[in-house]
Amino acid sequence: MEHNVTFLGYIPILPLIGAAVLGLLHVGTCTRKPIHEKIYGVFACIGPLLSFVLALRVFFTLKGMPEEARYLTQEAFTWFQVGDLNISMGFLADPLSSLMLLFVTLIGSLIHIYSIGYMSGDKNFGKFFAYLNLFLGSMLVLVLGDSPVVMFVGWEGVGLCSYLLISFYCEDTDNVLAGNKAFIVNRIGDLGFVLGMGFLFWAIGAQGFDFMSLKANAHVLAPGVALTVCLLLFVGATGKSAQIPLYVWLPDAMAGPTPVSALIHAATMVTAGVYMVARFSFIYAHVPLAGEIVAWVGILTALLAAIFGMFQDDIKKVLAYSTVSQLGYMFAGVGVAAYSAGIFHVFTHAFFKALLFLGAGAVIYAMHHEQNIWKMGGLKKKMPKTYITMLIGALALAGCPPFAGFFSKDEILFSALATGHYGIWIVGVLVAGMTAYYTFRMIFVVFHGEPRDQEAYDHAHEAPAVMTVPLIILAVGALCAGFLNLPAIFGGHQQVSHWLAPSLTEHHPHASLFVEIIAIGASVLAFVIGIRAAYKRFGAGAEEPQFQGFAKFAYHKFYVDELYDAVFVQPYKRIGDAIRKTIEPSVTDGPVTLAAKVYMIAGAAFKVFQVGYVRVYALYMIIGLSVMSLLLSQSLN
Amino acid sequence: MTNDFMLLMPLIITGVGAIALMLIAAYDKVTIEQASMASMGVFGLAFLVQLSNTIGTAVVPYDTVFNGMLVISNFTKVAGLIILACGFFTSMSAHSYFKQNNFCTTEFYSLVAFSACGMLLLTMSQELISVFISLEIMSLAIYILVGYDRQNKRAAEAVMKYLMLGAFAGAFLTMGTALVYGGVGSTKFALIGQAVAANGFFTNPALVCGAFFILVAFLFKVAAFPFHAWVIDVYDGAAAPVTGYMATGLKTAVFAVFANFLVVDETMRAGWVNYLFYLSILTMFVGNLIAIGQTSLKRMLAASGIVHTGYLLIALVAVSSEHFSGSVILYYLGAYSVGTLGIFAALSYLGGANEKRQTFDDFKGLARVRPYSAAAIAIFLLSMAGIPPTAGFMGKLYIITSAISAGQVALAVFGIISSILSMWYYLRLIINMYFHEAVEGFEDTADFKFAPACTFILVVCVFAISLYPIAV
Amino acid sequence: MATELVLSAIALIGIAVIVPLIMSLAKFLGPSAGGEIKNDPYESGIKRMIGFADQKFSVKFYLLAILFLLFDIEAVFMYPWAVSIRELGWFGFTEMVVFMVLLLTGLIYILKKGVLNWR
Repeated sequence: MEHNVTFLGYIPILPLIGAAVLGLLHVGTCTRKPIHEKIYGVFACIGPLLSFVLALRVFFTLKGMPEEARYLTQEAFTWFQVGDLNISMGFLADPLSSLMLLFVTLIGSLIHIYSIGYMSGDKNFGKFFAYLNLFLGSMLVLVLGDSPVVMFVGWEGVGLCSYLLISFYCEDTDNVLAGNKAFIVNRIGDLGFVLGMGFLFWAIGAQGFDFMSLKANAHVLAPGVALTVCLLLFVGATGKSAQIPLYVWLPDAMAGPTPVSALIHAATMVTAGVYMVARFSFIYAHVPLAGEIVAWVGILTALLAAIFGMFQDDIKKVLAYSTVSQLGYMFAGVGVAAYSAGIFHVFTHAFFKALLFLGAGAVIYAMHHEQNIWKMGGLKKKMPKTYITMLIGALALAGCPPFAGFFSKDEILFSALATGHYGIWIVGVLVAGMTAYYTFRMIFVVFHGEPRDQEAYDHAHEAPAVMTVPLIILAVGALCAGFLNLPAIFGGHQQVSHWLAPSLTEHHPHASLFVEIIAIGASVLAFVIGIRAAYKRFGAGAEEPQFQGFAKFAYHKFYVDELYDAVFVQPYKRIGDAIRKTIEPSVTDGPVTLAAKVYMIAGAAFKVFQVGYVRVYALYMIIGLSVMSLLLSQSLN
Repeated sequence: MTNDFMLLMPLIITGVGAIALMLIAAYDKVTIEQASMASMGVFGLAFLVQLSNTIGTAVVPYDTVFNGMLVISNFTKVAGLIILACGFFTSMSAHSYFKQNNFCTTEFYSLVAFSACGMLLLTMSQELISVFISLEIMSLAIYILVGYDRQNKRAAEAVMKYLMLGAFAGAFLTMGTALVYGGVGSTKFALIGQAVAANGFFTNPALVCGAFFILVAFLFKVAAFPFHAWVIDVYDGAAAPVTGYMATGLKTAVFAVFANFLVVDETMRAGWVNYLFYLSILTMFVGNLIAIGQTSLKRMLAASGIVHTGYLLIALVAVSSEHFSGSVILYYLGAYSVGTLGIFAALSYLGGANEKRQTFDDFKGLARVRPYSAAAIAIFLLSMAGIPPTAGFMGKLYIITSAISAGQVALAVFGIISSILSMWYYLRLIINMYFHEAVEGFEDTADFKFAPACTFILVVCVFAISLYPIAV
Repeated sequence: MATELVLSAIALIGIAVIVPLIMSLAKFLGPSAGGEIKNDPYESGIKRMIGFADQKFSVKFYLLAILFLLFDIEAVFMYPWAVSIRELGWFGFTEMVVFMVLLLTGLIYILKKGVLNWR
């Protein structure tokens, strides 16, 4: 079987070319007559769709290979070579990345199509799609990179694009600040990634720094080094995937246009951390302590975000916290070494979270950019398609059997239980109930009951087809994706886990039927209790509550942002100020200014020699020549 | 025979193109704009043929044509590519330049092509007489181009100085050739190399003196210390596209032949390493010190050209004659050419009528009025200053690593120091463009299509070249 | 050694004395019909030699002279070629044709530019 292929590189390159073309079109025309939006729309969608087709090709090529040797590689060119470090711009497609490819390109394409409707009329239409294509291209580089370094290129590209897109409506200072926050917080995480990568290279990089060589050499890692590497990489993952303590940027990231939120939350950005941990499963699997830490951080994030989510009144913030919470689940999954379960949750979550965000976008679009759920209500009648699709998404998110979210979440909780992580399991079940509660709180308030703002309600209308069609496709995904990994208890074969098995280093826990039934039963029970509580409270319509006590505390997100500001940002600013005012003028500026002055005087002196007389220039030549000849005569002797 | 023909094809195309342009000029049938496009076409075609020669069918690495007078290797092919690209972009920026300056005739482009012929020949010359002839073909055309604006006193002054000092240098080259012939009995590089290998270098005074004089001539042409003084006035007096062409194409050609001459034998190269060591340091620092005192942009760029010559001399010190590939020299020349051509292309359309914008102050606030042009200039300047991720940075990196691996750590250190010093005047223009209010309006440049397009392509090249790795 | 020195000294003295002597004799002995125009130094068609250095003057003569020199020298190149034409054969013939064509284009250029029109 031929493992070297040439079409792999096109997958990230096509959207990147699209980004370049769109960017040039936009730059070239923004000051003159703008191009028709349809042209941008077509150009924007070609790249992602073709990438999706290629992703299918990758998938089927891999499927045609024997299970233990399912991988495709492409080495585009040697990027740089410094000492032992020989980094080629190479791509690697194995079952893990092929799964990521499939849903990233599919959901990315759908979001592109949806955006044509959502962004219509924006004066920076072309710029938006250029960024969107760049975003998708970076994510595909991240997914396909065959070494941590190439992965890091995509990793940084994704961070950059999130910054550009979150602050897309840059006329408003708040949006720009949100973009800054996302970027800076991500940079803190990136530091962890870089350090982890450095440690890894220091330890075993000399024998080759691509994933395959690393995997082959991982067993020689000293336990301490492995733990350090794992934790540092996890710091990177907490930044990108919004975990404690770096989750603060994600809720603010909804400042960007809604399709961007969908893309960040579903397909491109936040899944990178989970993917990275799964990619490095060959190290994490050897360090149970690291896994333990990852799992606990994950499940505590899930709990915290779920608490926040129950008290938010902005439709996108509810969804944002639900993402943080679901990401917590994924980390809990990969933390208890159930990598395929974590990745499977990434996969299903991509469908229903994209669906929910795009649905929310349709609602916001219909309500003329109103995001407060307490100004909505009764939209069920006005927007039936959006309602039904969002309901499917909500059921999937809440973990209602047989929707996609149920199977994946249950798989994680079951793994936690089966590996003896009872604490994680209990918190997980609790969070599942809370998820059902806040999801349906949102659905009930927005779509049921009586309209709270009659005027806005009267103007509300169903979104155009270009927006609803992607919703319907995603709804089908949210409905069916779970069946791909049907556990044995329901008569399935866990195809996804088997598919992923060659890429991951994991041991499937074997547990009795009893344990499995307990896990499923608890999940279903939590869902029922959560949805029932939501129905009781909001089912028949409710007024905006005035938060008191703990609720107020949670509404303000435990004042974590303010805490960070007081503990990190302000002292940092003060130190910076102090250095600028005291140390810089005296200690650093002095010698620099002095050197500059000396340099200037010397320059002025040499300027004098450029007198402009050709005879003088000839004289210089003769003098130089004479001196050189004198030296020459010495070497002749 | 066909091989030879294909290898010479770029040269033939430029030569025939030059003659055709000359005849067209005699018949007064085409406008200068059409002539400019024709010249672009000639250079473009020649470039493509050269490219297909370079990357296409595997030709013997050292292929001799014309009885060993010319030798074509991968080194000369790539040098030819750079030269043809320089010609192409010069024609492109001249197209826009002559919309604001009206001293152009069709012969201008013919002369550009003729000098390109000389440069191409020079890169391939492996024999001292052909070196002299091709050097003169190149130089004579360049002399005329420098003084093309006959009404302009500064251009006349520039061409006077250049011609006189150039003749001076040409005399050295001829004298050197005669002495070498006297010492060795041949003017072919290969035979000189054999003679040195057989009898040693410093045992043969005529050869040493001859080689020394030839060296002096080359050092003059690349404006190395202490033969640098002409370059400021000449670059300043010539028209912006011509200056760009001189600074890039001419330098590439002379450095190519310089390297070819140096590597004929290891003892001979080793004999000059000491000189080149001190000369490169002095060239870099003198260039830097001259550059910071300048107020005129073109004079600053001329002085910075001296500094870049210093870097290239470092690369020459570090070349090895056993496995000579010259990749570092060519990489640096390519990177430097892209930046320099880009700035001069930008000056061609931003300079205004009769190049009225000359000083740093005239470009104040450019970023407010012409953000894209200012950004392009900033990128070129950063590339020349050697800031990552530009081509200029990679070029400097390769030069410094090659110096270190050749054991010349001191040179590497001086190179880095000089690179830091050079920020002074590069950043000065960027500061003027970005951190000052515009003092005057810049003309609408909407109808100058070619030079802006040229800057755009070169900006892309700045980054594209930096991504192209070479084996040091 | 001494003889050589003596000989060269004699030769030097001979040159130093005899050459000026003969030249001044020619001035006195030869017939001379002087006049202002005849005594003017001849400088290739330029009429006034004294004055400002940057004045404009006609370069017609230089141009013609330089073109004559050019074509003259190129013609000289044909002598060695003609001598060895049999050995060079058709290859030599082709080369000379190329050379002549190049010269011809130069001539055409000159003619079309009107350099040879003495206005």
